[in-house]
Amino acid sequence: MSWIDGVRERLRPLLDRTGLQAELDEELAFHFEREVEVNLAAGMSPREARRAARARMGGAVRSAERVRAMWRGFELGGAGQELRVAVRRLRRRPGFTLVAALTLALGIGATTAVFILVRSVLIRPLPYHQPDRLAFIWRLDRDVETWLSARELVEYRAATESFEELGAYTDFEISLTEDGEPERVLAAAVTGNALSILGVRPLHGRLFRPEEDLQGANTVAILSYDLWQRRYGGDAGIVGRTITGDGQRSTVVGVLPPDFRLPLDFRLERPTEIFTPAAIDESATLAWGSRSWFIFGRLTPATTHEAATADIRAAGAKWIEEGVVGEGQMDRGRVAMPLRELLLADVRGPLLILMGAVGFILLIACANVAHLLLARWGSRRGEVAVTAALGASPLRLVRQYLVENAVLAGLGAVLGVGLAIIGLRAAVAFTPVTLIRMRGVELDSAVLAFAAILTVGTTLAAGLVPALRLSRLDDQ
Amino acid sequence: MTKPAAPVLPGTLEMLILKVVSTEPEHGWGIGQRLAVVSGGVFEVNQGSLYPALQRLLRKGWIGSEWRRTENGRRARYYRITTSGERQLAQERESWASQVAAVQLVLDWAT
Repeated sequence: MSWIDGVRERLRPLLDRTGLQAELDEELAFHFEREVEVNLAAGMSPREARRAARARMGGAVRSAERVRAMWRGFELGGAGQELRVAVRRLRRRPGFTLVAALTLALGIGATTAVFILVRSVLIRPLPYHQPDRLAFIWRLDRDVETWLSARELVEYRAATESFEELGAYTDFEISLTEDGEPERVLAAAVTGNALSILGVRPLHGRLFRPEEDLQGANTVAILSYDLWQRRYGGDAGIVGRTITGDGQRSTVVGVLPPDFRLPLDFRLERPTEIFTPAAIDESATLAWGSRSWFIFGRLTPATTHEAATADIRAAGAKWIEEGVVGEGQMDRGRVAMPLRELLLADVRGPLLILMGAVGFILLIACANVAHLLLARWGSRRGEVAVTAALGASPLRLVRQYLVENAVLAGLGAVLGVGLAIIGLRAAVAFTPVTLIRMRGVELDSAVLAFAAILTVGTTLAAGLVPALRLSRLDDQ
Repeated sequence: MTKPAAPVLPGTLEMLILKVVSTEPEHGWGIGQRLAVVSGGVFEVNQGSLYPALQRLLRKGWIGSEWRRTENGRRARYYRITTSGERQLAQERESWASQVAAVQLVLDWAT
């Protein structure tokens, strides 16, 4: 038998428990039959033979049990027993256990909460099709919202090559007055391609057609999911119906999916809920100075944001040179701002600082628990000495205390994750301004994995030193 | 059998099993029988110890096992010794011999 067979044999209790069980059963059955045969040969009646065999096999049940116990032992490496001992010890000192677990819960909870925040805000991709290729045309000082003129949009379309498509939108408010309560909602006039540049697919109906954009008059509209649910009861028959906004009648042509927001809406408490065509009339002479549009586009696959910035600046410089536009009207400080940068630049720094801060809180919690453990285990010297005298190796002692500590950390983690979820939900519900993209706070596998790593780290950080000191009594 | 059957000496069962399966592959029941016969009926192996011991030996890699047919065509699990098992057996024989000799020396010690 090669060593590979040996390894496989060792792993079988873990991987193939039923197979092992079946083999053992068959083996014992075989044994029993042989016993019966011997008894029959000795002249017993079949019934007697079987009874005698069973009597002799009295150990059969025990044998199977002992073998199974061995398998279990292989599986847990004896940790099962230590777990029970640890739980018993912790229950004997409920005060200590409660304080230690709560301390760890606060540390783990705070860290997990910030992890959830960082992940949903900074790490998760923006909810658009290939969001890294989206760019807003923005002024350098991004504190100010950069409205640009429709003329600029039209001219950029003609003068630049970095964009697959350029679109624009502008926001306003509209009063919905047809059946039911009148209601004021946020609206956006979007160019015919704006929604498709973002990559949104309508839940019902369709997006705008190019000719609808040109037609001008607001004769068509698209609804957000929330508005559709709230005002129109989620009726799929809404598509094709007429609604009245600011006294003007429009036909609903589509409904957007639940989580769709216009990019800049992530900063708003209430997102845009109704979309109408921008109706920019390209044939008319548009004024450079009437700035009311957010211009954005999708870069061609070969372009970077830097190249696109150079592209739009070159166009601007050329217009100034040609005297089409005055320098004041067309300041050169335009950038093709990555969407991610635009939305996250302000929050990234504070969030990372917060992450560092809770990391320290967790460390402090670990240190406190380590002190508690040292103090408490100090009073257990006698017990340790007895265990060691009975033959427990230092390694086994360390393991025992770490198991106890892991139970503590596990308790802390469960409490902490609970705290994190409740706290974050409350924070999201009560903050006046919606945290960017912080909608549902959910427990998912990544959060659980993070909490598990924290638990292991905490166990070691808080428990290793005390356990090592305790196990080396002879050094003291 | 005149002598009363006795359990195997503590600590020696594994060595004895290794010895039995070192000559030819044998199933669990056969190993028990063989030990009883060869020891002149002195050892009776309780199968409550036999099967756990076989599992330990398997785990240490000193024996291997495979399912085969007996002469009667019944499926049975046969155990055979491995190379590392043979090494182990040789070692245990040696230390057993020296222990027996030592025990004998003490017993023969005349004051």
